[in-house]
Amino acid sequence: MSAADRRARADAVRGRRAGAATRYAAAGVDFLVAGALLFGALVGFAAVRYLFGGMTFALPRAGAVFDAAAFPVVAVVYLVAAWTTSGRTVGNALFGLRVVRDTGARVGVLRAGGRAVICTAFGVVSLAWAAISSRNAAVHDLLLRTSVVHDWSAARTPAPVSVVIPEGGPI
Amino acid sequence: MAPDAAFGAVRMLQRATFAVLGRGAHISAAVAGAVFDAPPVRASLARLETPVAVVAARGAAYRHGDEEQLKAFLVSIEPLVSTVLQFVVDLLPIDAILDRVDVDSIVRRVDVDALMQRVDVDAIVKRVDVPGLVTGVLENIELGDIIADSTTSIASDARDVVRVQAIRADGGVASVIDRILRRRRPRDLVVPGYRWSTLT
Repeated sequence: MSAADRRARADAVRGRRAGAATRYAAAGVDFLVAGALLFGALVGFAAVRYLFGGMTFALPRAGAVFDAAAFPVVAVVYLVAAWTTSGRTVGNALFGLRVVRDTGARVGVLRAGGRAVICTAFGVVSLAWAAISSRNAAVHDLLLRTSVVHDWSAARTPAPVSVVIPEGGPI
Repeated sequence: MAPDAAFGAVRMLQRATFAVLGRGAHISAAVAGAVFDAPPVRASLARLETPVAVVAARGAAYRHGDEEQLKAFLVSIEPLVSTVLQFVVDLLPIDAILDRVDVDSIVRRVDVDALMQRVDVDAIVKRVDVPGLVTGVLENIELGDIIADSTTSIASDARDVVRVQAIRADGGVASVIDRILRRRRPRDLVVPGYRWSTLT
């Protein structure tokens, strides 16, 4: 597929609701990003404790409750922060998606928080409805009146490299 | 016949006269050399050298001064000469002259092959500083920028391909579902009021 074909496809889908496959792929990337954030936070905490607490460098073990709650909390914070600012998580940015309200406006904190909780708890099941819905809407989209739209442009071919030979060159 | 005879006689007389004068000049020079080489004459000439040298030095100074004055004069009249020449050039019908010149016929007369055979290409190439030229060109190429641009371009292309494949997968899934549900109307995918930012 040529760059022109990709640009044409991008122009054709821009502003239209994304389907289930694209959204599952983006959600998978976000799942990895959330895990990386949690792991980074734990490593950072261990480093601070090692540097300033005089303890050995080891990941904290706070118990089963923390282990169970840490990932969802990190994921919800991450999703809310992304949707309320740019409308894109890392997965959304990778696949050229944006989360907006059904009116096209940016989602607020409460709406984004509710959406993040549902996505984190039931995202896999909830998102499956996007394949069936005639509006490509997942369950959390129907409940919170949100949409996930394509919003990207294909990359342009960079300009050719120009070489400038200095005046009075080496000849 | 008479005019030719008179002319021949005059020419023979002229040549004989010149021959005699030439021989006389040679003899005079030889005699003068012998006389000047004689010790008494040489001593007299030596005594004359000092005042002659003074006069010669003054003459050299005058000559140098005259040269400087001439140079200054030429420099001073250079603008005037340039103006006059420009005026003359403006008066000349250059275009008319060039129109009368048949450049094609001149070019046809040139034997390009013979001309090229006289060109010593190897000597020219030897005079070219190829390493310096290459170095100069490479110094003006930002290899880092080229590599960065290429890498960014490859990554962008790969990302766009993934996006397009995902969109195709969306279409495939939707087609299967819609067929199962016997849905005939196309899906309502447009979000009214959404203004995209056309970000990459």
